[in-house]
Amino acid sequence: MRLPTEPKGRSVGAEAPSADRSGGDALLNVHELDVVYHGRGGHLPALREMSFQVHPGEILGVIGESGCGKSTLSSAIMRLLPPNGEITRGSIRFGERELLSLGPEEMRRLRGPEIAMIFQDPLTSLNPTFTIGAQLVDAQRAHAGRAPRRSLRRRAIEMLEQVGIPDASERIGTYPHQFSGGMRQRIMIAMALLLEPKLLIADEPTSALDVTLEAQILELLRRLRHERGTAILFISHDLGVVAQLCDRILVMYAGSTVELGDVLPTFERPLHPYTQALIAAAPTRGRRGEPLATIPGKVPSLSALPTGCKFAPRCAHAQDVNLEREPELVEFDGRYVRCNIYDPSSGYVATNELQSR
Amino acid sequence: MKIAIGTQERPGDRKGLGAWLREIATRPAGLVGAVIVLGLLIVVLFGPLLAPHDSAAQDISRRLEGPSSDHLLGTDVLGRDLLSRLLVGTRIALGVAVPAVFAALALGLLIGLIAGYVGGWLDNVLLVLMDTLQAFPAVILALALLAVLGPSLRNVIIVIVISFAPAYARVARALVLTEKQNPYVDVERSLGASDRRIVTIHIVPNVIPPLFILLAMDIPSAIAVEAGLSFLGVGVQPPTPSWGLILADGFDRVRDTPWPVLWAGIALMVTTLGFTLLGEMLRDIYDPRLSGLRRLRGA
Amino acid sequence: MRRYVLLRFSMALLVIVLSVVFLSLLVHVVPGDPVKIILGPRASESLSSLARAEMGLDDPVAAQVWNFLSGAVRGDLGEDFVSRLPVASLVVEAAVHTVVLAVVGLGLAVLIGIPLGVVAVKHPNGWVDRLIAIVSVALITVPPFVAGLYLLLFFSVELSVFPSIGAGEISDPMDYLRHLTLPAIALAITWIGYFARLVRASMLEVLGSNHTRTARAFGFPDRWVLYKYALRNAITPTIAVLGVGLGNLVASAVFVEVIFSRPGLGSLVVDAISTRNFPIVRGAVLVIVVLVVFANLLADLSYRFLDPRIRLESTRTPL
Repeated sequence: MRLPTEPKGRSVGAEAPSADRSGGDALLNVHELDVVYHGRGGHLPALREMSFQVHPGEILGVIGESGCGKSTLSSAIMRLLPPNGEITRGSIRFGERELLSLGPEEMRRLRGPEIAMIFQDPLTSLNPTFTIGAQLVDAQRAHAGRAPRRSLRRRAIEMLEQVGIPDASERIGTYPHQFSGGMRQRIMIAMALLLEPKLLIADEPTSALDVTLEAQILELLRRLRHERGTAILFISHDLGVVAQLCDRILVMYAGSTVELGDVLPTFERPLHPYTQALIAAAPTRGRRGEPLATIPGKVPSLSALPTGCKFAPRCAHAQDVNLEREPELVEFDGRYVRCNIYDPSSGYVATNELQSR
Repeated sequence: MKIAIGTQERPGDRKGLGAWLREIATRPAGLVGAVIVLGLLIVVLFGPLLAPHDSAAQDISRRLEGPSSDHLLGTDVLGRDLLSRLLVGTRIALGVAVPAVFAALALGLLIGLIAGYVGGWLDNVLLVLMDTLQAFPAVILALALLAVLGPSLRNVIIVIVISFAPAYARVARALVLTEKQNPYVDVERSLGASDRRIVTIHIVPNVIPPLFILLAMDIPSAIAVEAGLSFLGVGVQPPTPSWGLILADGFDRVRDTPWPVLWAGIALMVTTLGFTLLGEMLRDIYDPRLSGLRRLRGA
Repeated sequence: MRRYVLLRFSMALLVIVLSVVFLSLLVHVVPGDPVKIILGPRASESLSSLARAEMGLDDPVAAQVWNFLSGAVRGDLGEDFVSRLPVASLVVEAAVHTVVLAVVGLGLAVLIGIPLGVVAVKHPNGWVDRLIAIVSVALITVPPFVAGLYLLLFFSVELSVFPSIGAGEISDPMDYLRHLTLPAIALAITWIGYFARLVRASMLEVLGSNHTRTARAFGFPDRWVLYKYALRNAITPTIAVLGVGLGNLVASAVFVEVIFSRPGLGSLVVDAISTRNFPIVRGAVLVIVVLVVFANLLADLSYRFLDPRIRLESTRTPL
């Protein structure tokens, strides 16, 4: 029986390049993914030509403002788009398999043991009428076949201890509302870990938590990668967190990748004007007393995207060509950027102007 | 009408006629309801003119007949034309239910305003009284009261007012309590406004609209209550052609002819359907949140 | 939670006491001689003096209220005017039939209405859903007594499938059931519509919630998401509505009993009104109110008990 959340996925033949600069095969390879929402008036292009890879054991941070499509991205990868969402083009390869050509049951078996996801709002993400023990055991039972409940429960207790829930064997019979937000997020992570996924998608997991809790959760995630080699797709709007945690960073704007590269070079020498503006806007210790920089204008609404480069209306370096031609994602010195300023064929225009401080 | 400073803009507020028509057009169910209600209003206004026969004219020689060219729906036990009686009965049905519900709203609003605004022990007393009244199912309360007051159309209206008012009182009270919290009330008071002014000009306009939605949903219930009470013999008395009475007469003779029961039942169902659909549409347009407030009442 | 139970209980008791007061004051509501009001202008002398004595109408009003109240607590609701039988025993006997009818009717509604709601929500806005929506609205808008009349008409009069009068013999369960069928269906009809809509709406809400998203993200089978999780979460609002509607159900039972000539509290009251047998009206209405109040209380408490968030209110551990 199909519940109305399976998108009308398509099998697309586009061969996605699976090798990358490091020579290893990517764990997750998203290639030119388009996602559209159908509305009363027409279609809204939520994702346009998204392309990136996540390698085994790597933490990739996805950065973007609200409305840039971050959540759509995670939903699309899990193939859990709402009924009015549709993947219209592109490919999502996980390991050897093309996710878009999988049937609902195959996809279901993937969710959890292969790709797991944790969400932004721990307060509402757990079912309030079941104990956390029941939910943790159910999560395993959904994939574990005929394993006896007792052993699943024991595993759950162990996992709760691992993520730092005290008195796990007693608390396992309690309900979610009896835990604080930070605890609930840990329980969610425990639930994800029990299934030992290869890839964990973390959709703004710390946005609802205070700084101390956030630090603890980030530490958990680091341990995860270190001890189990889990790859993490870390979605956030917080540059600082991404800088601390991630190996590589992907910057999204208006449903598309605008920059992708290793964290250190990206922060030291951002290529795309949007990335530069984001970094410039982040308050740092060294510039106390100066007015905070902002990015003029606002994020374009999906129903009224400008032609040409989507960032051009707010870009300090915009020229006429940017209003007509949407730039391609090009590789530039091992990094990727979508900006008309970088044109390999005609040389790199005005790179000097773009040197950040 | 002055709109208070603190009024919140709600989706149904101050929409032009064009916007309303557009809303109605997208809701086929509501449209059906509106059409039915319109038809009923026409019947209420022109009933006797539309009726082919005098609804009181008896003709024993032709009693309990089925539909014929002369009597489209048949005749009742006294030979009266069913169609004419049903048409005139529309006046009874609506003429009892609509004023009664409006009066219930007015009474409930008054009580709720007092309870909510004045507060204190008066509020508690009124609350307990309303709770007690609401512990009586409408029809049961009606029966108890009618046993004492005696059956008549006027008493049915009184009984409906008394049973339906507590619900309006509660809603009004809750709304008044929320409105009272609004800062603008303190502002007005500090500017020297009297209590009466605050209540009538500022609070009431915000409290009334949700009550009207409840009213729209209550009209079908009230119609059913009146018909039910008349059916039981404790409501409208013969020869007034209440649909309930037509059903009762038909019930007495149901083994001889099914038609009175059939047609009167259809009249009742169509009427309740029309008002219910209309009421639900109005509720959806004005405030979808109110769908949780669906009240279950009636015969 | 315990404090809430106590509070609700006391409130219920208060309401019942006030209802008793209200009922005993009823005859004094209208100006005029209470005896004439109850018995009508043409009552005989002997009947009038009987009524006066039975209801203590010569005593001060406060004494009347107190007598009725203290009598009611002891289970004595007075004697009726016509047969001089204790009202309490008449009422209790009738109450049994009414309760059976209400329970069976409600049970039918649950058995049919809830699955309808579940089926509707499997494919929201699909043709099945729309069909069920139309049927639900149709069922809700049929006044129960009209439903009863139609059922009587078609199945009893025209088709003679079911009996139309009485409750049958309790000693013969099959016979009793046969007599129970049409009345129970008549009662259930409106509720089937309500349940179908309510279950559909609450399940839809749960299915759109964040924790359902989590369940799907962890690969829970659709079957679980729907039946185990969504249905469970949707039951609580259903029970809450049940509580409110029980009063409605009792009112409908009155009509159904009259239409099918079934013994019960409803027919008892209606007969008593026409024979001007006021003590029965008073006693029966009181019992009805008590039943309704306790049914509401039960529903309210069950609903709170079933929701762990409310049940365990005081055990929050801030960590």
